[in-house]
Amino acid sequence: MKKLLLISLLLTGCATSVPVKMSFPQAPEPLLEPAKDLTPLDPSKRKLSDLLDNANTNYTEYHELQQKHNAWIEWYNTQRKIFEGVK
Amino acid sequence: MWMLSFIPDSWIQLAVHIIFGLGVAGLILTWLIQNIFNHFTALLPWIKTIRWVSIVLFIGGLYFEGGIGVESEWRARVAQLEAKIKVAEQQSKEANDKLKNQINSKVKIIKINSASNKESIAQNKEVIDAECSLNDKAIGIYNNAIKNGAQ
Repeated sequence: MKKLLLISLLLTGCATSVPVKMSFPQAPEPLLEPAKDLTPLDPSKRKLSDLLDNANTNYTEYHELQQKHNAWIEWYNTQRKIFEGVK
Repeated sequence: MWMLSFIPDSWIQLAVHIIFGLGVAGLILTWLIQNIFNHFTALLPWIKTIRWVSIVLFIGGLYFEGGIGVESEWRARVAQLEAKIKVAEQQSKEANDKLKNQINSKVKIIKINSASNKESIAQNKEVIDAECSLNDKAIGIYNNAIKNGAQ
């Protein structure tokens, strides 16, 4: 019993705790902006040029969002690759 | 053992070796005095005390010798991991900066193209509007598509 206690006591010398933390990566600012709503056509504007103008505004919004979406995919893949390199 | 992380490696190692060494030396000394140099009668009354102190130092020293080995190994791993994390954080920052520049330049191009289209519409306004005008129904359907059911 005494030997068991002694061995148990001596083995606790091997116990240790290692606090190493890696902070969560921050995404670039433009990607954190919320998406805007599309702009509806003003019912008082009845000309085809007004429609084209409105469509142009909305398509611009779509293209911006498309770039941001692609950037999110790239961000995720890059950060994942970096994170896996730490192990 | 975690408390050892606050003390430099070299100090701990030295202290542990001294404690363990004193314990071993004390045990050898008491054995020698009792068995070989037993004519040193002046030390005989102290033998028991010296032996107990030596046993305590020996056990304590042995405990810390075991602990320090593991501690050193962990410290090396922690240092390695911390270095990797530092590099990863730097890489992450650089990747973010690169991506931010990429987004900004692409959005800039999109806005330039959009402005160019807008200008083109303005320039050709008369030609575009000459043959067509929109009625309420067309505008309603178009706006429904934009709002996608939202009011």
